[in-house]
This record gives sequence, structure tokens and C-alpha cells, in this order.
Amino acid sequence: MDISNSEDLLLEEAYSIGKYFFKDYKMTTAIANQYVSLHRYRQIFLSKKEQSLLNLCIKYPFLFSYVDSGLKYAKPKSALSQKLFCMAAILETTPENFDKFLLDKQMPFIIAVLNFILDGFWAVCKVIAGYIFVKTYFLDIKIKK
Amino acid sequence: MYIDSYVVIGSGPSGVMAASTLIEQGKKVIMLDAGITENKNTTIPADENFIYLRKNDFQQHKYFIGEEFEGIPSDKIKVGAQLTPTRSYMIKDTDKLIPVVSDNFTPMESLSCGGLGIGWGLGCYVYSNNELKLAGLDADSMGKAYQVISNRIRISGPDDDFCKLVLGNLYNIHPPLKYDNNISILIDKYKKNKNKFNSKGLYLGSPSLAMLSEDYANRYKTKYNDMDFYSDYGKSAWRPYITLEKLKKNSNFTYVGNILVTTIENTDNNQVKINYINIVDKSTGEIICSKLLLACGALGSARIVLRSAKGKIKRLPILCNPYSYMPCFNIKMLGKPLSYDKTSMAQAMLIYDTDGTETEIVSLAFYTYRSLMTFRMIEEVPLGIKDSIKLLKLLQSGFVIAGIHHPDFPSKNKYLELIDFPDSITSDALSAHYKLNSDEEKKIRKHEKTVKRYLRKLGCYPVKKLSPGAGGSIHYAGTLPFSQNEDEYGTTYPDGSLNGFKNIYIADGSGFKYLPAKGITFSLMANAHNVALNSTKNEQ
Ligand SMILES: Cc1cc2nc3c(=O)[nH]c(=O)nc-3n(C[C@H](O)[C@H](O)[C@H](O)COP(=O)(O)OP(=O)(O)OC[C@H]3O[C@@H](n4cnc5c(N)ncnc54)[C@H](O)[C@@H]3O)c2cc1C
Repeated sequence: MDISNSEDLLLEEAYSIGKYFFKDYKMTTAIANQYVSLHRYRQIFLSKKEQSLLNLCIKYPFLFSYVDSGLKYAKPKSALSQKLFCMAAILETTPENFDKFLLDKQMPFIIAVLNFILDGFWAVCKVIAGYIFVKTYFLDIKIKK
Repeated sequence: MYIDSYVVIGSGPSGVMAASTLIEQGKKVIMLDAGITENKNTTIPADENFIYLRKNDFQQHKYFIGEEFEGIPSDKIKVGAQLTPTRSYMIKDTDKLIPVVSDNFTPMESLSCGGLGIGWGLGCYVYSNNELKLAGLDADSMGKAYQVISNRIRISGPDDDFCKLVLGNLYNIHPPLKYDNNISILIDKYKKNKNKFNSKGLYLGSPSLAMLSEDYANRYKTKYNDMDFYSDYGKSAWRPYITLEKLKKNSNFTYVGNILVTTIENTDNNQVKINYINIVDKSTGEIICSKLLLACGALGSARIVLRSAKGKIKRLPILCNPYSYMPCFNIKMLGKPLSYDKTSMAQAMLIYDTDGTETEIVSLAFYTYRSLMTFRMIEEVPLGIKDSIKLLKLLQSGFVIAGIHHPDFPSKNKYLELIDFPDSITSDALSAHYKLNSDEEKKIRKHEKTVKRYLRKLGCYPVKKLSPGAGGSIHYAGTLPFSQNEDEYGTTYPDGSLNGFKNIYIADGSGFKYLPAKGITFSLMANAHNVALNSTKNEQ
């Protein structure tokens, strides 16, 4: 039996990934069902290493951000980034998350520019730090006790 | 089985127009078609606006990402990236039934009822006289045929001097579709600098689309719902099924689906024998008819002719517009949401007449980005997914996606062959080879550089260039090029009849010897009309 895609584990993932994407995320039954059925249609299986990385992120949610950014370059085709990507698509098609994806009201130009610069800068930093973290993690370095 | 009718193969834009002309001429027509149809029953409350649906419809995932998640891309931008779950049946089973093997050419073909017309972008453009001449098409008869087709499908187009460039002398054109707020900014800027642009051969204007801006017959004007990639609400966009529905009401017309035509041949008395496989029960069969019009798309018709030539033809040429997407950013849109009311189709068209003779035109279709969803863009952003979502929310309304088409000429590095391929139902596959030579590549680079410079002058900054690879323009032609030479197998006479065969006509773009960078489909339909007329005149 493949434990990595058991329903309980998937639901836990769906909750944690959703929470990572949006702080005020509420996991509805619809989202949970979709995340589970996604794994029926798409063969997304985490390797042991990826599974332990995901477990680490679930335990220490602040790591998600670095792992997500780092995977982009360190392991762009990994099953873990696929899970994150598909969850983003699922969330995008829920009415409750509409405003997380689309600008609904006009924003002053200067605020938009500042947001772009600050968010962009911070995102690039995370890519660099995340890249180092993920690469190191997958190097399989054994630390002697 | 002998049938005393004209047989048209294929129900794409070319096929339905050829059949309509034959019916108008009082002929009996049987349309044979692979004709795969949609078997999912996804209901879209399509009368509603995209934004409304996003905010309110709890079932939206069914059409935005698909019930089997087929709308979530598993790779970077590739051919047909714009195909949504409700349109993806368009390419169903092509990999199994009509495989193409290639290292450098990825075409998109359809075996569905309506062909590639199920998802086409509706862009209709008239070829200039120079373009027609190079393509081997007769300017006078094409001029008349364009008008016939325009009357059938109805086009909304520019109402200024740009109209002449894209629609020639056509009349009965519906008023232009309205621009969204993003493109309006570019148009205003262009108008202020029009002379400068025009002096360099660049013209910007409203696109000419087979989409109604006014009600017509039993079709309704667009509601600017921005749901055009998902549904055909009100039939405001012309797609082949609209003409097919009309044809099916005529007692002289019969449609037969599930038929994959494999080979064609002449009988001793110059009738046409069509061999086929039924794609549902895999049985084989044959039909004999008096006249046949092939409209399987340039690749589809080439495949049938190669197979039927029994080794007399080794290779056939192929034309396909070199194509790339250039996401650009309109800075003035930063912080502004995109217009609530908009169509999803091209918002504007830029024509670059590279040598001032309307011969080698480069065309750019401008799309703004929203209803194809943020997730399709995430892969292209060099950041983590969460940060990409955040930044795309801010930037998305300012994106202008320019789809750039370049003209294509035949060359010895662009050809098709038929190879053994045991896995396919016909035990063969098309092997495609497509390579631009260094002069062509140089020209493309040069023209794109000029275009980029002028895009920047409009305040629209190119961010990067994405290439779906050769074959990605989804405009194919030139596989059975027009030729006057007798007994030259693998060519088409100027009247559309296939060289080396009797009573067989090519009603798609296989004959075109040159592929201008303007959308081909309007010209395909006009040519199909002419070929159908010729087929009724010529008694061979
Ligand atoms: C996303 C997209 C956007 C596009 N945008 C534009 C645009 O804006 N402007 C433009 O000009 N063009 C556009 N096109 C291209 C346009 O769709 C094609 O040029 C057009 O559909 C070709 O028409 P056709 O009838 O010649 O061939 P097809 O549409 O390919 O139809 C072929 C038909 O033949 C049938 N068939 C094939 N082989 C067999 C066989 N062996 N036996 C039986 N039946 C067979 C198929 O079932 C089908 O019905 C676009 C295409 C796509 C996919």
C-alpha cells in the first residue's frame, strides 16, 4: 500500500498547504474532496526525501515559504512542487479565494509600485535562501552524532 | 457501397464551407468525418460574466480546471496552451489515431466534429494581392469568395483605415468590438504617434474577428462576458458547428461521423473509392462516390495522399508560421483591474508591413490576460508559487500577450514523410521535419527587434519571449502545393483538383505555396468555396 497518498495524509497536506498559501484559509469539504480526487487522476507520488521535507514543513510551517521558492530552481519538476501548484489551481477556482488571485478594486499607483518592489525583493531573497536550503536537504548529508 | 453524391471529408472550417457551397449549388453532399464529440456534460452558466462566476459559482472548477484536472498544465507553455477543459476534446485521440513523430515539429491536429475550429481564435484576415499571388491563389476569385464567406460567418472589424489592410474591400462588416481598458491605453498612445508608426510600416487597430458585435440571424452579439475560451454562448463566435447545424437541416446533406479515412483511389471508371476505419468498432469499409473533396487539414490530407500514392510520393512539403508569444507589460495598468466587460479574444492587431509591399507581413495579435487563470502563468514566473500568486495579482491586468506570426516559405528542410508505426491504428505515422534556415531565423530576429522597439514606444514593455516550438502557430498549409505541371504527384492543380487522381479535390490549405502571417482560416474557407465551385464545373 502506498501510504503517502492515504486520504488522511492528503487531508492534512491540503490543510497545511492551504494555510501556507493564505493565512485566513478555511478548508471546505469541496476543497478537501478536490485535493484528494486530484491524486486519483494525477499520479503525484512523493519520494521518501520529499515526503520528509513536506512533513518538516507541516511541523514548521515557516519553512514552506523557502521550500516552495527553493524548489522552483532546485527541483522544478518535483512531486512536491506539483502538489503546491495543483493546490494553487484548486484554490483559484473557489469563490472564497477570488480576491487572492484577482485585483478587484483600483489601488493607488504608488502603492502598487511599492508593493511590487517590496514583494518582489522579498520573493527573490526567498528563492536564494530556499535554493540553498533545498539543495542542502537533498544532498543527503549525514551529520555524525 | 456506391453513393451518388459529392463526398466531403472533414467538418472543420474548410469542410463545412465546401459543403455549404455544394448544397447552394443544388448538389447532394455526404460529409464523412472522424467527428469525435464532447462526451462530458459540463454545464457552464455561460450567460454570466467571468468575474461573477469566479465570485459566486461553487462549481467553477469543473470548467476552469476540469473534472479530471485536465486543465492544470503539467508542463511549460506548449502548443495549444490556451485549450481549456471544455475545448480539450478537440484534440482527443489524435495521438493514437493520427500520430506525428518529430524532434522539432509539434503540430496540433483535430479529429473532432468541427476540427480545430472548435477552439480557433476567430481572427479573419484577407490576404493582399501579393500574398495571394505567392500562395498560388487567384486574386479575383478569392476576392469574391472572401465576401461569400464573410456573409456566412459575419465578421466584426475595424471601422477606420486599418480595415483596408486587414479586410480589403469587404462590406457587411459589423462594427468593431470594444477594447478593454488595457488595450485602450495602447490605442490612444498609437493614435497620437500614428504617423511615426505608419512611416515604419506599423499599423495598430481593432482585430477582425468572426464574432458578432450586432445580432445576426439566430446568433446574438457578444455579451463581453470574458468566457469565450470556455463556451459559445449565444453563438456570437462563429464556429463550424453553426454552419454544420444549418447543413444538417437540408435534406440534401448527410453527416456521417466516426469515419477515419485511410486511403483514396480511383476506380476503373474514374469514380473515387474511399477506404476507412470506423473509429468506434474498428471495422473497415469502403465507399465509392463520383466526386470527393478532401478537407482534413493540410497535415490530414497529406497523410491520406501519402498513403494512397503507394510509394509514388516519398515526401511532401509543409508550411507553418513561425510563432512565439511575447508577454508585455503596460505600466499604466499597474494597480488597475481589467475591464469587467471584455471578450477573451484578441483585443487588437498590429500589422508590420516589413517591406511596404504587403507581401511579407508580420502580425501580432494582442490578448489581455484574465480568463485563462493565474495558474497557467505561474510556471513562467521565476519565483515560488505563493509569491507568484501575489505578484501576478498585482500585475496580471497589465499584461498584454502578443502572439507573433511570421510568414513561411517552403524549403527543403520542411517536409513530411510517412513511416511505419505499429502502435497506431493505421500502422503508420507522419514523420515531420521542420527547420528554419539561418536567413529565415535572422529575418525573424530582425523583425521582432523592430516590433519590440515600437511596443516600448506604446508603453508596453516586452518581458520575455515564449516559444511553443515549430508547429505552434496551428496554421498549416502547403503540403500539396499548387502546380500547373501535369502528372506531378503530390501537387494540386490551381482549380483544386489533385494531380495524379481523377475527381478528387483538395478543399483545405494544402495547396497554398506561401503562408502569410495573417490567420489562414478565412482564406481556407474562401478557397474551399472556390474549390467546391470548381468541382461542380469540371467534369473529368
Ligand atoms: C487555439 C487555436 C486558435 C486559432 N486561432 C486562429 C485564428 O485566430 N485565426 C485563424 O485564421 N486560424 C486560427 N486557428 C487555426 C484554425 O483553427 C485552422 O486553420 C482551421 O481550423 C483549419 O481548418 P480545416 O477545416 O482546414 O482543418 P481542421 O479544422 O483541422 O479540420 C479537419 C477536419 O477533418 C477531419 N479529419 C481529419 N483527418 C481525417 C480522416 N483521416 N478521416 C476523416 N476525417 C478526418 C477532422 O475530424 C476535422 O473535422 C486556431 C487554431 C487553434 C487550435
